[in-house]
This record gives sequence, C-alpha cells and structure tokens, in this order.
Amino acid sequence: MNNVLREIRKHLIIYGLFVKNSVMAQMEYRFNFIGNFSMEAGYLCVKLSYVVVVFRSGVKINGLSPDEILLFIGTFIALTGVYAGVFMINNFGLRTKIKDGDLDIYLTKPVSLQFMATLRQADVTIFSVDAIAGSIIIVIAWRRLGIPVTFVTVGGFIGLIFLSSVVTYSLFLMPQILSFWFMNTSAIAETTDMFWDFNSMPMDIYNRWIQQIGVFVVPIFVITNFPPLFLLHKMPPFYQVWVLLVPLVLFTLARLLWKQGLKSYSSASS
Amino acid sequence: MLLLKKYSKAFELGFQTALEYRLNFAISLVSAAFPILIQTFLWTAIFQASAETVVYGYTFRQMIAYTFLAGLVARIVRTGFEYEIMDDVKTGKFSRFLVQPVGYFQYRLCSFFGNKLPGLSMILGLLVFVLAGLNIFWGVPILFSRILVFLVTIVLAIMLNFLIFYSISAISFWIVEVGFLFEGIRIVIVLLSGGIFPLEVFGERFLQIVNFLPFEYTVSFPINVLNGKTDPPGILLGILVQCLWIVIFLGVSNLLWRVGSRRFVAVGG
Repeated sequence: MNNVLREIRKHLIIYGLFVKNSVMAQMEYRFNFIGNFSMEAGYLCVKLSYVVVVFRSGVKINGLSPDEILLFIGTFIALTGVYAGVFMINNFGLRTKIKDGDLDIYLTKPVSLQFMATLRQADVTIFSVDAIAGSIIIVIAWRRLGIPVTFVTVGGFIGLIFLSSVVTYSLFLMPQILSFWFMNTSAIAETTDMFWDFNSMPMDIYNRWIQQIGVFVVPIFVITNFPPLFLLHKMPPFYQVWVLLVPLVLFTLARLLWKQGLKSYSSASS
Repeated sequence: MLLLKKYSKAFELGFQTALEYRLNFAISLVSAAFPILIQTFLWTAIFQASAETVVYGYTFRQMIAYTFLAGLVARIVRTGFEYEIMDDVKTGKFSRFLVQPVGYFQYRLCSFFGNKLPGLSMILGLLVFVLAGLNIFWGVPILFSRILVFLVTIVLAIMLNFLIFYSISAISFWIVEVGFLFEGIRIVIVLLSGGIFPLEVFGERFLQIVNFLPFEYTVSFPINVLNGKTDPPGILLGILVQCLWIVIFLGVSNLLWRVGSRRFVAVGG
C-alpha cells in the first residue's frame, strides 16, 4: 500500500513539473498564448450560442428546463478544458511519437511510459478558458436551480467530474493506441475527436437508441451527462453503478491495449 | 493570353492539391455532418416541446432545411489559404512573388478557386440530394429560378469570403505565429454568418448589428435565397450589397497588403 502511495505521489510531483514546463514553453512565445486564448474564446462563443438557443426558446426540452440544460452545457464546457487542454494535445502527438521513434527516450525513464507519453504536455490556456467559463456557468445554473451546497452535492459532483475525466482519458486514448499497428491514423484521430461534440447538449435530446449506445457501448454520454444528472437527482440506480464501473473498465482496457501495442513498437535506433 | 495561361496554372495547382488530399476533404465533410446531426436532434426536441409551430420565425421543416443547408454552404465558402499565407510570410517564400512576374493576389485567388472546384462539385452534388430529399419527403418547394440565383449568390459569397480572409491574412506581416488567431476569427465569423444557427435566433438587436457587417452575405443570405425566405426585391438588394462588400474588401485588402508587405523581411536566397 505504501509503495502504491509513494508511486502516486511521485507521479503527481512529476505531473506538476510537466505542467510547469508547459506553462514556461507557452509563455516563451507570448503571442501564441493570446492566439490560443482567442481560438478557445471563439469556440466558447459557439458553445454559448447553444445556451442562447435554449434560453430564448424558453421550452422544456424532453423534461429538462433551460436552467437544467445550462448545468449540462456548463459541465460540457468545463470538461472540454480537461479534454482539449490536458488529453487531446498529447493524444494527437502520440502517433508522431510512435512513427518517429520518439518513445525510445521515454523507455529509459524510471516512470510509467504511458504516463510520460500521454500526459507530458498541457495547454494551460485552453484548460483555463474552458474550465473558468464552464465553472461560472455551473455556479449560475446551480444557484438558479436552488441546489443546496452541501458536502454530498459538491463532493459528489467533483468526484463525478474526476471519474468523467478518467473516462475521457481512456476512451479517447484507445483509438490513438492503434498507431502502434497502423502508421497513418490521422483520420481516426480526427473522427474520434468529432464525437466529443455530441456532449454539447444533454443526451436527452437524442433518441433512446443513441442514448443507450452513448451510455453503454461507447460511453461518451457518461462524461458530461452523469455529473449534472446526479445533482438533479435524475440518475437511475443502474447509472449509479455504471458510473463507478465504467472508468475502471475503460482504464483497464486502455492499459491492456497500450501494453499490447507497445509490443509492436519498433524503436528508431534498432 | 500569357496572363491567362500563367494564372490558369495556379488554378490547376490548386485543383491538383485538392485532389491530392481528397480523403482529408471527405473527412472534413463528415465533420460537417456531426453538428448538423446534433442540431437536427436539438431542433426536433425544441419543436416537439414548443406549443408554437413557428419558432424564431421558422417552421420545423424550414429550420431543418436551414440546418442542412448552413452546414453545406459554410463548407462551400470556407477558406484555408490564410495558413499558407502565414507560412509564406514566416518562411520567406513570399519573397519569390516579389521578384517573379506573378501577382500574389491573382495567384492566391486562382489557386483558391482551383482548390475549391473538386469540393464544390462534391458539395453541390450533395446539395442536389438534400434539396431533392426536402422536396420529395417534406414538400419543401424548390424553384429552378431560385437555384440559379442561389448559384450566383454563392459565387459572390465565395469571392467575398476570400477577400475577407485575404484581408485578415495580412496580419501575418505583423504577427509571425498567427494560426490560432485565424482559427478564433474563423469560428466567430462562421457564427456571425449564420453558419451554425439562423441569425434570427439571437434576437432583433443582434440582427441589427449583424446587418451592418458583411458576414451574413456569405452563408445566411444564399440560404434564404434558396429556401424562399428572401423575396425578389430582397434578393436584388442582397446581391447589390454583396457586390458592394466585395468592392470594399478589395480596397481594404489592397491597403492592408500594401502596408503589410513593407514590413516583410527575407534573408538569404
């Protein structure tokens, strides 16, 4: 147990250094920082346009009031910060690392190779813009809905956000791992990236079949729908079990796939 | 004649590049389908929940037709050459055009239209299917005369969007790494042009502001010509405004490029 804790602590310290390095690299080219900010602010405008559509229509969509939908959109925006700022930047770079043999240097390090290759970079600008905007929207929706601020609601919501992040990491990493077998996976990367936008609205707008597929087959809807569903007391018992199970299952699958893929890696120097 | 031959080569070059990356284009079409799908579900849910049959001035069928057409038209007018211009300025390739007897504007314009051609024909083919589907299954009336006028407005929209982004790309002379900024500007322009939602969704005040900007004439206007929301006098006025914006942006781009290119520095051969 002590060993596990020590390993976690070590990886957390290293992750802190990764983030620090990423911030320093971004600050070196200050206009990149502004450019990145403008890009994410532009995308944020598009996400907010969905809020305008819902609020100005003033109708309850499949039983969800505009304020409830606001909570879903806020969660989606905040988690987009995690997806785009923490995971996507590494996922998109992974195929180049595999193709160019850049994993060689990571193999020699005394830390997990998967950790190094999939979490080394972070885009703090993208993360901050979305996380801040998303959090503000969540707070507004929370107050408008009169949800009590208790240890259970806040703790449960944050816990589910963490589980959603694990699901995001595993679900979007798996298609990238295919780069170990196929050299050109850019089309796969781009297509899976597009799936993220299915969360821009609550899953209730889709028909039952799509909802079931999005929860149980490709659990994309688990990511941004389950935390607000928990706050709104609209989470069926089976979803409560599934939300604990799915991060574990997906992370294990991603880990196994990674180990399998690594066997097919041919180093640049060999 | 020599001039024509020279720029037809640029056109050909753009055409060949587009064919070379046709898989990328097909994927980008899939990416256009995703927001259309999401918005279709959203509008279906809104119309089902609403007591009104007309929401934001659109019936359900008109709204779905708008959603499909906006996705396709926004793809038709989309540029992308601004990143190449950024690269030309950053790497110094732009200096070739200063010494060679080739006008950079003419080269970019011909190359852009050449690059657009394969995708354009593919999207227009798709548009025919969408229009036929809307007509057969939902009885959305499609007049041949409107299709002809739509084609005129779409050519003007492509030209206008080219000039808007050609003007914007002059920022490359002041800022070296400008790719992210281009993307931010692009996505806001798509929103302001009605490429995501009809502009009426955002309210009267927003519409009044947007009416003073050129962007709605790149997506929203051609769609409203096709779906019959704009009457014949409105169409004529709209085409005149499109032409006026094209003239204005010809002047703006010319000015920006003249000032900007003075800042250009290239070292070596």
